[in-house]
Amino acid sequence: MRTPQPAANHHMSPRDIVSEAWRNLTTGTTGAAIWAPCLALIITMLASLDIGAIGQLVTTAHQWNQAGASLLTVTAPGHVDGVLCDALGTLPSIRAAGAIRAHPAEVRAVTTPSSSIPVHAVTTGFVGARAGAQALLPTQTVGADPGIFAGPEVVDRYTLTPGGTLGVTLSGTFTQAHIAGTYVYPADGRQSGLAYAIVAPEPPGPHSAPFDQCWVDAPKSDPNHTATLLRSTVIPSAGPQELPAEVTQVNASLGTELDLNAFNHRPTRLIPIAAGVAAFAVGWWITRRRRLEMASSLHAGMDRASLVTQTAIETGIWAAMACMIAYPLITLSIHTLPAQDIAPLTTRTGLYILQGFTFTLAGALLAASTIKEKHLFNYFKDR
Amino acid sequence: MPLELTGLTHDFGPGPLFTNLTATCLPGRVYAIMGPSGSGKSTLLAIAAGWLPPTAGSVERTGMPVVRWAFQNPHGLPRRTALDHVTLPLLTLGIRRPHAQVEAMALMEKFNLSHVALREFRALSGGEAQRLLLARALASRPDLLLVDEPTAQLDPTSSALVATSFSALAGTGAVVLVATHDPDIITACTDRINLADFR
Ligand SMILES: Nc1ncnc2c1ncn2[C@@H]1O[C@H](COP(=O)(O)OP(=O)(O)O)[C@@H](O)[C@H]1O
Ligand SMILES: [Mg+2]
Repeated sequence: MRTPQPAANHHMSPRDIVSEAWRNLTTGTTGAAIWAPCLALIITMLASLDIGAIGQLVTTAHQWNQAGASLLTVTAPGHVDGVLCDALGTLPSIRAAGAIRAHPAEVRAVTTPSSSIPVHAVTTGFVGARAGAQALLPTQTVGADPGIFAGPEVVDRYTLTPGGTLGVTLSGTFTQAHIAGTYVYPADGRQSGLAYAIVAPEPPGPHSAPFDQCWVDAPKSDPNHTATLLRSTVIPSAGPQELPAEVTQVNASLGTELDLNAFNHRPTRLIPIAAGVAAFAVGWWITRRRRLEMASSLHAGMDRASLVTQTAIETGIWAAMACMIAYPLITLSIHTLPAQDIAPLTTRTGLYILQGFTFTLAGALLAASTIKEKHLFNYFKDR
Repeated sequence: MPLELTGLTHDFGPGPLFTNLTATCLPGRVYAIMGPSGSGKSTLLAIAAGWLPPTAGSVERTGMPVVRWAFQNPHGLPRRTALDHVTLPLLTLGIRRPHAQVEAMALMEKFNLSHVALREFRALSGGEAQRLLLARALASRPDLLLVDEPTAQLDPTSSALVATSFSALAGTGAVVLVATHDPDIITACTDRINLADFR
């Protein structure tokens, strides 16, 4: 008589599954020492290509912003509401906003009394003199002292530093002007006029005079939408005729519009898909390569769930090894890029690593689920 | 419960290998499947295992949940040890590894494989690998054992060990089918199925 048999589909204990996976890894059965570097290379190459292209976009956008190409102005002399203009800076679509008006004061440096320095009154948003507000123009300040802001050519000519002073005659009277800060306004193709100038922030108030221009920086918005917002700061004239309220770009030399969709149109846009397919294929193929030995294990009584779990452990470990090789390599390639802002690139790297890992695992698990004991028979039939 | 082969016919295309083959294979007996090379011995084993549907006829295998092969071309995990191969089926039966290894060693000893226990599978000779996978098949305590040309690569001493193991397994109530044209093995079997009788 036969002794009672254990159930044919008895499950292996988790401990035995782990130990089998570990033995497969350490004996070289999984080929981890070869496949992990191969997978790392594939992920690194594909990711670096795409991240290089994204880096270019980041650089272009950075140059665009640096050159003030994202700055738009509306010009309506004596008809711009400064409070309204400043308030635009608090909108989510607008990074910073401020109004400006030519100041009639005659300012001459005491050292060069023959030439006058143009003066502009600005709202606090223009140079970020209000707490928590972003400056429209990049500024350099010490503390938050009140005072004037000097443009780059004035700074050069009189060697000024934030916190210092400039001896001037203001409409004939001598005074020491306090330099609250300096602002950046390079000659990179933008409207001239502010490079050799000083601006004086004017605290907002209900009785403050209207301004000539409102400036906004909206690097991530549709220019038409921004223009509409700008025009809303123009106070309608009392008279019958419509005021000309022209919207212009502070620097039009880089084109009128940054391609906000450039990311979705980049030549490497399909690489994330390719990388996913490649990782899946690698996981699939490397597991399929072992189908005879896996079929052999199934025929030795290993149940499907145990085989798939074992494959998950093995693949998880060598795919993680691949990621640990690929991550520093991609990071290294990022640092060779001229991009100033690498945050979006490191995010991308993380996505590539995560995708590489999960798709490799998915490919391997699908392969392990489709291997059949019968492969053994087909094998010897096809020998 | 016996293995019932009823009216089996198989044809891969060029003409039937066997026609209307009917046999009742009883537990406790060892059947020699006889015939020259290419006569369809392996094909009949695959049909009996349920791995290949026959062109006609049916196979009844009730009460035989564990079916194991000892293939002519043994396939294992090239870099895992011989011992690991025989231990695996015992682990799947819920036996803890230390006990499983002891039992596996005992099985390997019966096939004269103790000295290669810690060798990698890929380093075994053809005959050693074949015997190893036979030992592994026995470790699963099969109800139906299908053996394909077990002695093609074996010396007489090993052949005798292998033949003994068939009777031992049959002694526990299993059905054993052995495809062979080795006269020594045929003599050791209790019953014969000659494919020449079913042309
Ligand atoms: N999958 C298959 N497709 C077509 N012909 C096959 C297949 N498997 C085996 N054959 C043929 O069937 C015949 C019998 O094969 P087989 O059962 O292996 O014989 P034996 O085991 O007796 O040597 C051979 O001629 C072989 O070439
Ligand atoms: Mg054969």
